[in-house]
Amino acid sequence: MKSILSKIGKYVFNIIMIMFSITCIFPVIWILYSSLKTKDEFMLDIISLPARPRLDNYYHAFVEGKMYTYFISSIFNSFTTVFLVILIAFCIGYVLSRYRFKGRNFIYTLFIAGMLIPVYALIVPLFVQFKVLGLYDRFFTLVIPYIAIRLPLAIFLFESFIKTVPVELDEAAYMDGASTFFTMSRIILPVCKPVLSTILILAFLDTWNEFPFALVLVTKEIYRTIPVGLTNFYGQYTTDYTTLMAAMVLSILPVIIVYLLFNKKIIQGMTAGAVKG
Amino acid sequence: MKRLLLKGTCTAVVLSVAMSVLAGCGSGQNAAEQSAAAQSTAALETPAPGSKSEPVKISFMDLWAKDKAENISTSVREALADFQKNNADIIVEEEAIGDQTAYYTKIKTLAASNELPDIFICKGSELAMFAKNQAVAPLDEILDADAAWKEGYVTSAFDDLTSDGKIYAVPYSMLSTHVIYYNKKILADAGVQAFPETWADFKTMIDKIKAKGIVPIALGNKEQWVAESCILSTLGDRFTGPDWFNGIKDNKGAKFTDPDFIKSLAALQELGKAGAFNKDMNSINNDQQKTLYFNGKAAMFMEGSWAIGAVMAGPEEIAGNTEVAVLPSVDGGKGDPKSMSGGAGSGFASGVKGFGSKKEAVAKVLKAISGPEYAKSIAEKGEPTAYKVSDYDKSKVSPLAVKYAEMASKLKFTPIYDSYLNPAVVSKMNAGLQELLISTITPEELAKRIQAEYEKVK
Repeated sequence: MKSILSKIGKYVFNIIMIMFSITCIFPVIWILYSSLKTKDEFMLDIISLPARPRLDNYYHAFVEGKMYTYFISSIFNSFTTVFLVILIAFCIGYVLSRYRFKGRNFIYTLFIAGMLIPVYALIVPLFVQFKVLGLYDRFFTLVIPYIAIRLPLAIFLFESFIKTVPVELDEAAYMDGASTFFTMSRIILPVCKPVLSTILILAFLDTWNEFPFALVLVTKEIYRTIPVGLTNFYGQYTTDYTTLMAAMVLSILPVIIVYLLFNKKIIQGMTAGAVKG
Repeated sequence: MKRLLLKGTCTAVVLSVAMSVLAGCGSGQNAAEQSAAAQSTAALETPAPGSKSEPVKISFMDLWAKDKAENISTSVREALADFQKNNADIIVEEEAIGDQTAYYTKIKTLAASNELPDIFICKGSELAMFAKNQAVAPLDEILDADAAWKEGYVTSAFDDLTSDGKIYAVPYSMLSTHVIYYNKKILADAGVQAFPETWADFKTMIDKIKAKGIVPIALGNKEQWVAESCILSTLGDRFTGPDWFNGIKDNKGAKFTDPDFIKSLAALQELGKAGAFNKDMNSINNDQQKTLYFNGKAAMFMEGSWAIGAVMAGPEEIAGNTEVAVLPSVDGGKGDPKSMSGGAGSGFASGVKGFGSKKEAVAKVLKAISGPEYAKSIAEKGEPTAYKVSDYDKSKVSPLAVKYAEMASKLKFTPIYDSYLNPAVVSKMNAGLQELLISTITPEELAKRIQAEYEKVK
C-alpha cells in the first residue's frame, strides 16, 4: 500500500514538473513554428500551427535582413572573447592560487570587485574613453569591454578550482623537470575541464546576448551583433513578428548548440569550483 | 620551492610585459589614425577652393529598420538617395536602430558625451531636455534664412519641437495619435447606423455591441502608452479644453487635480467598468489589439494614424469595412469635439557639435528630407504631412487613407500628452492608467499621484 502511494506521489510530482518544463520550453517551440507561418496567419491567430510551413521568413531574415553580417560579427566577438577570457583568466587564476606574493590579495580583490560594477554605469564613461582613444567603432572595439567584464567571474572560478587541485601535482611535475608552462597547460588545465566548460558557456552566453555595449560602442552595420541586429525587425509602430521569430531562431541556435555540447560539465563545474573554494 | 616562486614571478612579469606590449601596439596604431583623422578634419574646416575631394560627412541617425517598408522611412530614404545624386560634396551616413527604447538609450549616451549625430530623429519631450543641456542646436538661424521653407510647414507643425521659443527640430510628418478605427458592419449588426456624436450615444453603442458578445474596443495597453497617448490625450481635451493643458505645460497654475481632468479620468474608468475593453488589455500590446480587431472579435480600436497601413494590410473583409472617427463630444466639456490629439511628435534635430561646423550642409540635407518634394511623396502614400502640399496624385492613396485625410482636414490638432510632459510625469500617468482601467485606483487618487510627480519635477 505504502509503495503504491509513493508511486502515485512520484507520478503527481513528475506531472507537476513536466508542466513546469512545458511552460519553459513552450515559448521556444512557439517561436519555432510561428517562424514558419505567414504574417497574415500570425496576425489572425497567434497560437495556431502553420497551415503550410514555409521558409520565407528565414530568407527574409537571413538575406534581406542581413542577419549574416550580424552573425559573422557575433561569432567573431564571442569566439575571441571566450578564447581570450579563458587564456587570461586561467593564467591569472593559476598564479593567484599557486603563488603567495606581495599584493596578491590586492590584485585578487581588485578583480573580484569588478563583478560589483553594473554594466549600465559604465556605458557613458566607456563611450567617452573609447571616443578619445580612437577605439570607437572598430572591429575589435567590443572585444575589449567584453573580456574585461567576463574576467572577474572567470578568474574567481579558476582560482577557487585550482586551489582544490593538490599542489603535489605541480611539485611532482616539477621534480620530473616540467617547465611552468608545461605544468600549467598539460597538468593543471586538463584537471580544470569542468570549470573550464562552465566558464566557456557563461562567457559565450553573456557575449552572444550582450546588448548595451554593442548598441552604443559600434555604429557600422558590419560590426553590429545579433541582439542589436534583431532590433531591425521592429518598426517604429509595428513589428514584423514572423520574420523577427525566424531571426530569433537563427540567433538562439548557436547558444543551444554550445549548451548541449558542454552542458554535462556545467553543473559539475559550478559546484566543484564554488563550494570547495 | 623558492625556485618555483621565482619562476612564478617571472611568468607574471612576462605576462604583464606581453599585455603592455599588446596595449602599446593598439595605442600606436591609434595615434597614427588619430593624426590622420585630425588632418582630415583640419581639411574640412578650411576648405580650399576647388578641392572637391573631401566631401562633408553628415551623420544621420534614425529609428527606421533598414528593410522596413514603412511609408515615411522609404520616402526619407528615397529623398536621401536623390539628394546624394545631386550633391556629391555631401555624404550622408545613415545609422538605423529599429527599436525605440534602444534608439533613445544610444541617443542619450551620445548626448551625455556631446557626440550627438549631425541629424537625428528626436521626440519633442526629449528635445526639451537636450535643449536645456545645450546638446542640440537651435535651428532658427537656418530656417529664418530660407523663409519659403519655414513658411511651407503647416501652422502647428513646430509646436512640439519648440522649447523656450526656439525651434530645435524640423518635422517630417504630422501624425494623429487618436483615430478610432471601427468596423461598420459590426456596428450595423448591433443596430448602430452612424458613429455616435455624443458621449451618451457612445456609451449606448458600447452596450449594444457588448450585448452581441463582441468586444467593443480592443485595447492593448501592455506598453502603457496606448491608453494615454491614443485615448486620454483626446478624451482629456474633450473635458478640459486646450487652455488647461497650456496651463500645465507652462506651469501657469493648472493642476492635474482640477475637476475637469478628473472627469476625463472618471470617464475612462467608466468605460473600463462598463466592459468596453477586452479583459486582458494590460497584458497585450498595440499590435495584438489589432489582432483582435482583424479577427472580428472587436468592433473598434483606437490608435494613431500610423495604423492605417496596418489595417489596409489586414484581412480584406475587415479592411473594407473599416471607417475612421474620433471620440464624440462630452457633456459640459470645454474642448472642441472637432479635434484629435496629434502633432509632429518628433522631428529631425541637429547635434551642437556637427551643426557648428557644417551648418550649410545640415540645412541642405534637412530641406531634402522634410521639404516639398519629400512631403509630396509621403502625401501620395497617404501619410499626413507636416508640409503644405496642394496637388498630389490621390489615385495612389489607399481608400482608408483618403477617408482619414478627409476627416483630418476638418479637425484641429490638440497636444499629445507624452510629447510635452516631463517623462517622469508621463510614466506615472501611464502606469496609473493601467490601474485605473482595472479599477484598483480611483480617478482622484490617480490625479493626486500625477500632480505630486508633476510638482516634484517642476
